[in-house]
Amino acid sequence: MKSDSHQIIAQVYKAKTDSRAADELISSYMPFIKSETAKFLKRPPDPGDDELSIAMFAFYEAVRSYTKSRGAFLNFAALQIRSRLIDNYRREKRNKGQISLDSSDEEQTDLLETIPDGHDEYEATEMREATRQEIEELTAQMTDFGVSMTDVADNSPRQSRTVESCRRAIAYARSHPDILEDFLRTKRVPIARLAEGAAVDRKSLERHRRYLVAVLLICTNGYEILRGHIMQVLKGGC
Amino acid sequence: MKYVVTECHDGYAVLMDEGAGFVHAANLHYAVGQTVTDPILMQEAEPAEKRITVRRILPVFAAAACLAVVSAAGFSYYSGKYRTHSVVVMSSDANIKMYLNKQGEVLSVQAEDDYAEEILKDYDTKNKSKTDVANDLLAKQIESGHLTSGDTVDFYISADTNAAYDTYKTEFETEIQQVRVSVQELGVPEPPKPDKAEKPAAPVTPAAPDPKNGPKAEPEKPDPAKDQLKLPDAPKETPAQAVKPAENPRKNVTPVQPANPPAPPVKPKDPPTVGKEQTPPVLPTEPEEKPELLPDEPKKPEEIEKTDTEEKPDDSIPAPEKPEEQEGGKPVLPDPDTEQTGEKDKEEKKPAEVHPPLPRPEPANGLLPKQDPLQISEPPELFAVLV
Repeated sequence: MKSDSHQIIAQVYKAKTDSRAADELISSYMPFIKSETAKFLKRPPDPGDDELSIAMFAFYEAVRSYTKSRGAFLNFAALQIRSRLIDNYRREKRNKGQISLDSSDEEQTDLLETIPDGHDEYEATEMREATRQEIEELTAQMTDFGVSMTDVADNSPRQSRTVESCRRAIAYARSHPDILEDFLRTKRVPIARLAEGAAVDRKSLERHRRYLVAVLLICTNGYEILRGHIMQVLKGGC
Repeated sequence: MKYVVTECHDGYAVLMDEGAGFVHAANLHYAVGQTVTDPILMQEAEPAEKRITVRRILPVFAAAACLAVVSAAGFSYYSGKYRTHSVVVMSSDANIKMYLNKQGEVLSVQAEDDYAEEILKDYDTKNKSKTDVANDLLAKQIESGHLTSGDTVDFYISADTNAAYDTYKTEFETEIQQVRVSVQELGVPEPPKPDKAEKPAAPVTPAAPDPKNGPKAEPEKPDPAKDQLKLPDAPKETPAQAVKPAENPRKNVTPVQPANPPAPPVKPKDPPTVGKEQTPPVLPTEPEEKPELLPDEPKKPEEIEKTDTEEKPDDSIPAPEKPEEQEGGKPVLPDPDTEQTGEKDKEEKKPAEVHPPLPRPEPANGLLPKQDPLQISEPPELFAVLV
């Protein structure tokens, strides 16, 4: 029993930094996750239930935030799952009075079908497919730099001051195409030049090197959809 | 805010927001490239609360215990080595105060006067015991001639405990052989200074004159009981001899005035009325009380009346305020005003104070000489003797 607890703690600590190990841990503990979800729903969860997805996400959160001082991992994960499901239930409860567009009337027709739609579904599907291709290409290119999307998400700046520093560095790189060319050629982020040119702290850039790799790649040619997405905020950017 | 799903896993998805931020979110059946608007984002992992466990507290307690032990040891060392526990005052011509620690070692010496400062100049007490310091300082005084071998030097010891006092006393008495040693216990480590002790007692300053009485107020009222106590040793002296003041600086006062009646304090703000002035100040009621030692027969009341009447114009003369004017060799006479006030006082006092008036010499210039208030108080003593 004691060795089991030690084993799971080791797996948890490994999954904190390794996304593949996290996926394996979640897969191996799916019965536990379903059990906790069933306790909340008072029924066995279907694979398509949002509650099951939220429970899996809560388990992943528990993996990332767990420390030994918090006690047994499974107890901690069960508490985390239950809290997340309660939060989701309360959020859904707030929207309970609103009529869903997916709801059907007496003639079994959805409300969504009755609303004149200017949105082209075909175009949207194409747009999603194009975006997916860009993201896959970006992910592949990031792999050459030794960076994954999960790493980028972990390394993304949170504080506004750090975000601003990164934006200034990216804007400086965009205004100097030679820096982007050197970046693609050497596959190394020119931290010193960016820090000097953008007049930002070098250490701040070094801490968020993976994030800079992803954004600088997006700023290069070939990722128009993603660049257009983030350029809504970064006015005058790439 | 819109998010683009960039990566999907079983338990989570990675989204990219419009601010080029990448976040973790719940994978609600998302697909890569999908745009979502209301995802369930991952909450920032809060730092785990640090529980207070024995394992954490133990080092703190150990450090605190070590600190306490070190502090106690340091305080004990300081208290025994550098804190003043006893004070020894060596009192001779020079008053020197020695501060001793718990072991009786001299921490410092302090000079109480100038001569002590001179002795202690360039003297180092480092690594010297109290008796060595005392012997050295006494030797210096003997060398300088302020002390001789037979002199007695007082040592005042203020110690924490009686045992320490006894020890120090024994040590001083046995180890100091240059002079005689007199050791006394001192509650307050401040020896009596001989300079102050030798000073004469401060003269009793008379009470501040009453502003109503002005400067003419007599210093003291003659107290008959006091006068009796102040009887001279030789009562057979003539009044003239008795009156002659030995300490009187006015040597030019040639005539030996017979004893004046007791002069009570003058009240200048109550000038006597004319009628009262004419009345004789004192009438001898009983001839038996007439003193035999009086050189001259006291005048009869009629004569006194005449004398007072002759002196009547002198009442307009202001009372003497400057005693320096009397040093011209003029005889000192009682002021009529004082006589008048004296008469008032006589009524309140014992009959022994009532004395017959004595004749006064006529002033040379016809004016009543200004009277020294200090001389008025002297005749009562004589008169008391006579009575």
